[in-house]
Formats: sequence, C-alpha cells, structure tokens
Amino acid sequence: MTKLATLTTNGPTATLALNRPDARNACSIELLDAAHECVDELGDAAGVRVLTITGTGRAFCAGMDLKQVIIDEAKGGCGDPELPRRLLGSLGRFTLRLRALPCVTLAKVNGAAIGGGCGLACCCDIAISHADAKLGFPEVDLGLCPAVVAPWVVRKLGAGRARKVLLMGGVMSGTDALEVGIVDQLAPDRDGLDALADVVADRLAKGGPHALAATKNLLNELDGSLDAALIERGADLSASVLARHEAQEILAARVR
Amino acid sequence: MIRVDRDGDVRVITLDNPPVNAMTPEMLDALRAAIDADDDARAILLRADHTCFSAGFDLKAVADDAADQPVLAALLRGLSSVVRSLRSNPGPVVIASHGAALAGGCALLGGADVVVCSPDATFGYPAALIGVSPAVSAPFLRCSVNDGDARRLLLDTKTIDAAEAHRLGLVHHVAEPLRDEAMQIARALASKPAHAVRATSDWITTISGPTDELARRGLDASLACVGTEEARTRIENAARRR
Repeated sequence: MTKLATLTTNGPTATLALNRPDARNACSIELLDAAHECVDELGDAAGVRVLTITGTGRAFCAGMDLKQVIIDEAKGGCGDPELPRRLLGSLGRFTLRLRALPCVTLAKVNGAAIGGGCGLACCCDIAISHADAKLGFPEVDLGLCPAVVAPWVVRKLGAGRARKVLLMGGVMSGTDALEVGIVDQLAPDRDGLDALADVVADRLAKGGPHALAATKNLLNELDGSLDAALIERGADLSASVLARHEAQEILAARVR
Repeated sequence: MIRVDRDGDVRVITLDNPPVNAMTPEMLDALRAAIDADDDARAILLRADHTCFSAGFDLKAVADDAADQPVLAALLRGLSSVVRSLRSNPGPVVIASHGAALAGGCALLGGADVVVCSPDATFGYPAALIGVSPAVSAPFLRCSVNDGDARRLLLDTKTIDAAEAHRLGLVHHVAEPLRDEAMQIARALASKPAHAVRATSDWITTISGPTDELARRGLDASLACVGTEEARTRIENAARRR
C-alpha cells in the first residue's frame, strides 16, 4: 500500500512529503497517522538539521478531508461522530510535534495550502511558496472555526492580521500571502520553487545543530508555542462548531 | 453626535460631531449605545463624517473641567468601554478611517476586526502632550502591532501615515473610495455563517488577549494621571493656544 506520508533523508536535510495527490493531500486520519510515523522515524535520524514539509503532486495540503468531518453517512460522511475530533486532535498534535523538533522546519508550499494545510505552513519555522500558489483559511465560509491552527497563525502574523485573515476566509495568491506574512519568500513561479527550496534548506543546514536547536527552543518558550492544552482546547472548539447543523449542511453541499 | 443607519445586514455607525468628531462623554455614551443596540444586524461598520475620523478627546470639554478632572475620567472610562464593546460585539466590526485618527480616535481601531483607511489617513497617540496617558489603548494596540512599534506609537507623539500604519498592521487595507471598500468588507463578513465567525473571533481573543483584567489595568494606568498638576496645566495651556 502507498504510504500517505513519506520521509526521505539526505545528510543534514530531510523531506516529509504528504503523499495523497489524488485528494490534494487532504488530511485524513490515515494520512496524519503516516505523518506522525514520519516524525517518529525522524527521531532516529541523528544529524538532520532541516526538515522540509511539502506535498506530492500539485497541492501542498487541502486541509481536512471533508468526508471525514461530515458525520452523516447518508450525506457522504464518515458515520462516526467521534472521528472529526480525533482528526482535529491528530492534526494539532502533529503541528505541535513539528514545532518541538530540534531541527529547522521549512514549509515548501508547492500548491494549494488550505485551512489546516495553511496552518501547517504557519507552524513551520519558515515558509516558502510561489506567486501562483493558493493559500488561505476558508473555514468560516464553511461554517467552521479554524481553532486548531489559529494559535500558529496568531503567532506568525500577529493577532491583528490573523484576525482579519481568519475572519475574512477565502483564499489568496502566494503574492498576497507573502504580503500578509503567511509565507516568508516566493519563487517567481512554480518551476522555480525547487531551486529556491534547495538554496534555503542548504543555507539553513549550514548552521550548527546545537545552536539552531537552542534558538528554536527559546523561541518556542518565549511565545508559549508548546502549550498542548491550548491546542486540545482548540480541537474541542473546532469539533463542536463543526458538529453543528449549519456547518454539516454546508460541508455536505460541498462534497455532493 | 452619532448617527446610525442600516445598509442590508450591516449597521452603519457614523461619528457626526463637526468639525473633527471630538469626543465628549455624551458622544462616547451614544457610541456605546449604538454598538450595543439589540437589532438583527450581522456586522457593524464604524465610520465618520467631516474632515477626519476623530481628533480624540474634546479639549474644550476637559479645559473647563473641575480640579480633579471628572470629565477627563469619564472620557477615559467611556473610551475603554466603547473599545471593549466593539471587541465583544457578537458580529464582526469594520472601521473605516479617513484623515486623522488621533489619541482616543486611534484607540477605537483596537476594537475592530478589520480596519480600512483612506490614503490621506494619519494615526497616532499625542495624548502625552496634554499630560494624558494613552495606556488605556496599550492592551489592544499591543495585539495589533509588535512591541517595538507599540512603544514608539504610545510614547512618541509623532503621527504616522496610512502606508506606515498598513506596514505595522494597525490597518489592513488602504483603499479609495474608502466607504465602498469598507462596506464591501462589512457585507462580506455579514454574509458568513454567524456562529463560525463569532467562535473564531472569540477564540483569537482567547489566544491573544487582551483579557478583561489587562484592559482594566490599561484604563487604571490612564486614570492615575487624571487630576494631576501636569494634566491640568498642559490641558489649560493647550486650550489657551487654540
């Protein structure tokens, strides 16, 4: 069976690729399990200084797998009222684990980064993309609350910008994502992203691993990044908003 | 002093106290009542008529104040309560600012979800010139701009222009015509699922603050300067120069 997330290491750099291209790398519970396994595996890969997170195919990550957050089976959903909460909790813990890694994390946003996918990019230390990528948080448009990833967006953008971005919903171009601070650097086009990612990863890998880890640790401590209880509360909130009739109806209309 | 109109699902609140929408305690009371009004509007657009958004507290009102400056204290309390009302409003709040938004005028921005301004807009907190501390704004400002910029804005009385305010994150869009753009954003917000918008807005406040406790400490810090020799003398001198 195809692995839904893969880890490849190459000396001091490693790549974690979400590998579900036919579903634009949407986060199903299975994909997140595979992503967690990649982080387990990385724990043994001593000497990795930079971890690049990216998506196989055209998308980076389309966010939550809608079929697993719709509860009613008759409406194309999963039939398991507990699954959305587990999915949200797993995504939250995955972002926390990435944040806590001693190596530098680089989001290589190769294409659509939507909702939880965009949150994944925001939790990485550095995010790069290209002008034509589509990024954003359309959760409120679907009657949902992006509570699991909101802490990363608030930390990266500042509360004022995060408020506007999360409440206005929709998606934006890579160029607009750069302006608002979701991504830190852009390749001129999609084809140029590989080269840019290599340059950035190689440069980051030049840093001393202890120095990099110490810096990350301190930054995480300063902004309270590793507050696991906040992420769990976010998952509770997000799951409760998601379970409401209003949200379930909008989601069902989307997958129909 | 405050006008309330309805445009579809949006309640449009307009500051209407010519020439510069200077704030009196009565105006702030009316503004708070307009924000807290219980109707079925799904979003608020707060804007202003006349030459600017608001030049802050009405100097005339505070210059004629008694020695312990009860009017100044009422203004600070009123301002704090208006900003908290904006932030806790069940629907999203858009502010459209043109011309100057100074001191108390600039403080209103802290309660908004989205701020749009015209290219001619200016912002700043020159309150210390009249011996008044803008601390009441600090807990909210600190959430929209970074610490270094918040310190500079609150301690240095120099104002900043629209482009810089956008760069700092104090405003989200610089647009012309201002009213159309702001109305479009308010309508878009009003059209989104209300519960999701409310939950998201409240969650961001939970994550980033300010807590009610911090907001109150900001107000207390400003109130501590009320009735001081410094505030009385500086306000008298400023009123005489006018």
